[in-house]
Amino acid sequence: MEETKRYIGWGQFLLLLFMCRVFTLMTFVPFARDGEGLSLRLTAAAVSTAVQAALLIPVVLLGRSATSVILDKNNICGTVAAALYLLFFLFYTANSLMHFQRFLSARFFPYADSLLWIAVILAVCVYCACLGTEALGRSAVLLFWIFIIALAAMVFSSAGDADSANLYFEPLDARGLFSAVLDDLSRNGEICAAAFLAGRVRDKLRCGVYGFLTAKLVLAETVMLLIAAVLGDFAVLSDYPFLALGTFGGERFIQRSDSLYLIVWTITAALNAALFLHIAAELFGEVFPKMRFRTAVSALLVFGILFAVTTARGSLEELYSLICSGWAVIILAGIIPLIALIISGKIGRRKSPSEKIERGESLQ
Amino acid sequence: MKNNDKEFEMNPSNLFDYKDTPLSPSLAENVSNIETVLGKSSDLLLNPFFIGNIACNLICFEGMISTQTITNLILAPLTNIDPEKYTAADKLFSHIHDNMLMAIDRGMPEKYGELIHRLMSGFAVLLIDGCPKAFAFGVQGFETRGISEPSTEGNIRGSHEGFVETVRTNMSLVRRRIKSPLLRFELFPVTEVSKVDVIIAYMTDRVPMKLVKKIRKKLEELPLESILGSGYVEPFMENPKPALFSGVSVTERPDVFCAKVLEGRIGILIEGTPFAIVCPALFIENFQTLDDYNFRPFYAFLIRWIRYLSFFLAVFLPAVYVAVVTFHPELFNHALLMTLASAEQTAPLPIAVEAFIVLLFYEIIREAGVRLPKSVGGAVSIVGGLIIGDAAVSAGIISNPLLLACAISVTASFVIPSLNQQITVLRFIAVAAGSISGLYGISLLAAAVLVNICALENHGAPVMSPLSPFTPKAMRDVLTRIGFPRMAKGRASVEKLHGVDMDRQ
Repeated sequence: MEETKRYIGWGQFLLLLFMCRVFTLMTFVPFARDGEGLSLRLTAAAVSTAVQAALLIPVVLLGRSATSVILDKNNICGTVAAALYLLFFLFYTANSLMHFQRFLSARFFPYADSLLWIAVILAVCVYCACLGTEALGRSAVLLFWIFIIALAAMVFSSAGDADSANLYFEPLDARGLFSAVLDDLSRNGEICAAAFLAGRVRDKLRCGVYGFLTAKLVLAETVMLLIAAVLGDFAVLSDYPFLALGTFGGERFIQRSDSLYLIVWTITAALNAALFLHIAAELFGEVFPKMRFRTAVSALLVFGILFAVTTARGSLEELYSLICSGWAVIILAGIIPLIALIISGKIGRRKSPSEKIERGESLQ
Repeated sequence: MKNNDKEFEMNPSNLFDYKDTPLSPSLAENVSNIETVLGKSSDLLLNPFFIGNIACNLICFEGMISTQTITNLILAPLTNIDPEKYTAADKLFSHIHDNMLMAIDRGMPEKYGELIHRLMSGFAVLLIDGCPKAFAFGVQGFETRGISEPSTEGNIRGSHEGFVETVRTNMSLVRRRIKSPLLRFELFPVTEVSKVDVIIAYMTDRVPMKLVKKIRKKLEELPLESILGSGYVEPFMENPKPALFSGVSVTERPDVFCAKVLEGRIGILIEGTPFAIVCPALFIENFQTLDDYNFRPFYAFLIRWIRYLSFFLAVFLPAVYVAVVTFHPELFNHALLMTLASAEQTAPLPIAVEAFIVLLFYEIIREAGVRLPKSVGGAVSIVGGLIIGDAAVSAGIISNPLLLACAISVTASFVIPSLNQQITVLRFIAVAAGSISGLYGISLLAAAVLVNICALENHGAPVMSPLSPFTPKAMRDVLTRIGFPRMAKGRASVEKLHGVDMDRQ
């Protein structure tokens, strides 16, 4: 399905990326690694956010023309950039779905056929992706409110069990901090989506970008503190502390409320994967303009990657880890847009009225 | 124009030759051509007479005109014309045109197409020998249903008037409620064969004329032979992409119609159906009724949230029950779990099959209740209650908790009749999804439905407004029902919602 160019508001842009981050938080909080204490995690999240803010400066400066400048069709570099982004988003989508499937298998459906369940969610994501950026943006707004209600329920039901004695802040280690920051960056692939979605934001891109970074930092820090305060050392042992918080919380007329939260997590996972699938389909259009059924092709490739990674392993796993690493995020979210900004010559010169309009700025 | 009747009857393409053919000055030729086009239909009444030396003919369709009206307004004045004064056809024509009113609704068709359309709309047509024009007098007197309470939209404190099948009567019902010079009606015939009259109604200061023209063009270009219900027109007013929910609303109530027109929408009245179409429509309006604005705000707030809850119960309750019992029993506390386990243990069929059977039986009984003659309608409830409510449970085929869940779901769907079609279909799909993969399947379905609704737009208005795109001020009438003193401070309008661009299709 071909989508005519439609714009989303900066609020929808913010919430779309925010819900992607929420999905990652639900299934990726890495309390289980040895040697990574609370202070390291909290500091790494803050430093990582600062790094992301710096990485996104070129995208903010490019404004609505970010996508067209980065993926310049008249330039071979634009096509190469499109191919790199495409590869990243395909692997990142596969990565997200793989983690979600592991999360489901570990906590809810241990005997389910993993690939079959991924195929089901992929089918839904293909449909959602075909409906376009506007539909996904609007859905993110509604999903945000549903998440807030679920989070509030989780917080209120478990806040009574929080104990400040569980909050132990160990001394920081520079090397550990550096790897923790890279680790955190690798789980923030949605900032690469910012470079692509910037072209779809009607106005106030800056508000959207920095609002998103602020919101996700607040969320991450709050959730990590709450998990540590409520679960204590158990948070270190648990694979999915956020889920454990939900399980620990609800006890009244509902025996365990984690199954209810499954609804929110599944919808968030679908939205997350649909967004990246949609972007991948658009990028296919940049690299292979005559290709049809791009979203379906993207989904098939994602499924193929998952199948290969879960069965073939070996060198493919190394490639997989490289593409989904923090360095890839740095390159795609920051370095490529910076190069595009420099090449386009937009630094150090006065903006023309049309450029100001493109970025949603005042002409005064 | 062919005079060979038999050949003409067998060649339908001749029927389309008359539309732009001008009337002839010869009365005999005109009458002959009219008879040829209409095929000497039994309900066609031809009344030849003379005014002095001038031959005339009064033509109408039997049953379409009011005998008393035509006698008093047309026949009597015509027979009172002094034949000595008007010996020429053109003078007679001018006299009738300038000095004799004869009917409020008058026209002067000059072509066969318009003349025949007028005849079929209940006009009486006067032809004068020597004049290439005719007079058409609106003396309709066909039987119509009286204004009565709408059958599909009940209310407690609102008006009990509903639209009827006559579009002109409906127009008057709207005009009586909006006595504004800015309210406009545009009446025109649509469809190739039946030439059904439709009216578009709008406020000139609240709707972009570009949108009015767009909708008018869509109606004029309807590729249908006839319109026998509003459902024929709805698909053409909606977004062409397939969607579960509709971007147009249908109402039988003139007060609801007026409220929506005042909010800057376009209303469409169709001859032959009491259901009017309004576009663009928002999803949230399915949960709003006129009674909300007649009750106290706190009560309206409670009722509105009950409707929101009812929607989710109607769609998801049976599915969630099936999913939780099958895949997530840990959600129940021990006491409830034991109760449900003992009930389900005795049922011989898988719970998903039970759910399908109950829901299917309900749909059969509901459909039977609608189609059955009223005199035996009571038998449906007896049979339904006995078969499902008593015999099935007593026989142990269906468990009580499941029956309860389905009954609550079905009852909840009555709260939002405008979404009945979608609720019914989604209910079945949700049960299937829940029985296959538990809450995971239901969540995926919810995700697909959510994105589907969010993608829907109608004439530039996102259907999920004001929820998304979010419009804080408009949320006052979504989350709550604000009082009229506060509501009166700002005029509610679809155009003021974020993301609405009625110039966009």
